Amino acid sequence: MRNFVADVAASIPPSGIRKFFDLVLTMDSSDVISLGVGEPDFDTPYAVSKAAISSIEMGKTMYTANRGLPQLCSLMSEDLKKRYNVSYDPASEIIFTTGVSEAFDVAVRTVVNPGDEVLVVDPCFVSYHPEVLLAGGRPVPLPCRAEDQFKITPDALMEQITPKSKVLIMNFPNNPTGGVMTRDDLKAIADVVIDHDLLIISDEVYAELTYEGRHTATASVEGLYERTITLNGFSKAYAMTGWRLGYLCAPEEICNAALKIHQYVMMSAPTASQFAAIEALKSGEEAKNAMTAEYRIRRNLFVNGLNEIGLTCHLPQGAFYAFPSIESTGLSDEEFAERLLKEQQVAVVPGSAFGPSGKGHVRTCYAVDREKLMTAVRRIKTFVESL
Amino acid sequence: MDEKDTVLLNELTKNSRISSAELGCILEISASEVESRIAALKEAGILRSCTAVVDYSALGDDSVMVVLSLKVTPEKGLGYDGIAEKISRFPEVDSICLMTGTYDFQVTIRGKTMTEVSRFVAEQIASIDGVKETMTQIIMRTYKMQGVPLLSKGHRDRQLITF
Repeated sequence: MRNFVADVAASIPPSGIRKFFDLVLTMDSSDVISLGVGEPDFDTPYAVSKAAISSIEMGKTMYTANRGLPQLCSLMSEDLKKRYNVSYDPASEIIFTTGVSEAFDVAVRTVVNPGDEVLVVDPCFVSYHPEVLLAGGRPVPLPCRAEDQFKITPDALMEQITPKSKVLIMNFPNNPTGGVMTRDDLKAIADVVIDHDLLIISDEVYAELTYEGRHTATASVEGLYERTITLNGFSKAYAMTGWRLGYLCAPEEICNAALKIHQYVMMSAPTASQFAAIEALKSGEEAKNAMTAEYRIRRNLFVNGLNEIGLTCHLPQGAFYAFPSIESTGLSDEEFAERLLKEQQVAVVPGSAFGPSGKGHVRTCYAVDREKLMTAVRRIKTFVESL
Repeated sequence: MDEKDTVLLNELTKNSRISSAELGCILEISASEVESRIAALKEAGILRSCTAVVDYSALGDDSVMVVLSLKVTPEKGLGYDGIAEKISRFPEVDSICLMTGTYDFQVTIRGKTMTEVSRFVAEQIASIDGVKETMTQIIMRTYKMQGVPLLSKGHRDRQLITF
């Protein structure tokens, strides 16, 4: 029999920490405190769930327009204008997708030609590199360092640019570092992006989890709207990970090309989830703000705890991750995660899983109730002291 | 009262045993500033008491809690306040509020047994001058108290690790 697996599928490396994953699967979940999950621990606000339940009961269970429900597109457009001062036309510049994962896949395939170099913020969410490879592009890690609060600096960007560079993929607030790009930070790289005629795919799914001031949308920075595909979704802000609802916004020409891919691949985003999203936009503000306030409190308690243990950690300004350096322990990030799990039953993710710049760090998610979070801190302390 | 005081009260409502150091970390201020803010809130009569939420049913005792609705005749000069003050003095009384609607007061009462509560209502409350009518309802089960859900949540099958 032939080997039926296509070359491109065979060429994608499996997640770098397969061994660690396998180990996690052998653990009894009731003993483990997991700081390894990238999702809110809150329930979806009940009014939001109720809206979806009602839509199903009323029989609104058909496909929607490819872009999404017109009412949702309009509300989203207004929301983006109000929140981030960016204008996307609801009829031609917004597409609702099955999670930001699909939006990301569509965005990459819309703009990457085989052989194009794609600059990818590093460390980054694990799907960015494989997605670029699937599109035939060449991912180039763009290192972000702890001493720069994990921001992209113009110098670091310049260093990686070649004549083949076409796209810059970034994600702020960042998974796994919690780093953010302020308006000034974005302005500082805008000139480089424009000078080298790059397009930005900006994954802003953690936008609403910004702790100092407001999130700055990349597309709202002068000169970047024309060259930005904005990705966002409902998962993190409204505790809706399982609903799988994201969206892609881009200038009309790019958006039309993206729409072709979306309609062939997915047809339309889940209908009940779109009804839920309408309700989230209408009435979810208060619940969202309450969750964000709670994450901020947990961040303070957790990062303070880590620093007291001697695991140095910059104060993350967004998302719900802390990304401490574990180099003082003398262990590699993989050894640290493995032994912490075995010896103290706390699950964290080795930083190397997120790219070369993640080495020597671990990703810890503080979207865990405070009692568990503080127990985790005590266990990590016991572990570090035992080394 | 500023934003930090609001959060401070909110945190104390959820956990009255929280340390000043932890509150300081939450509020991004020093522990001594926390102490002085708490003192000021007490001084202003805003922060009255830091208490505990106890689920007596989990304790397995048979104590009962009743909601007593009262119709009263307001006293000349004192209005409702005089009667409310008298009722408040009984340690059995957990809370008393003046209400809109059919009844004037809603009183919650805790007692060791139903007999004890019945006697208390009949002998101590109903006999107060101005009390015209009483309606006693027994609380059968408490699901949420002072913002704390008392039912344990089912397991949600959260993944142990995701990216």
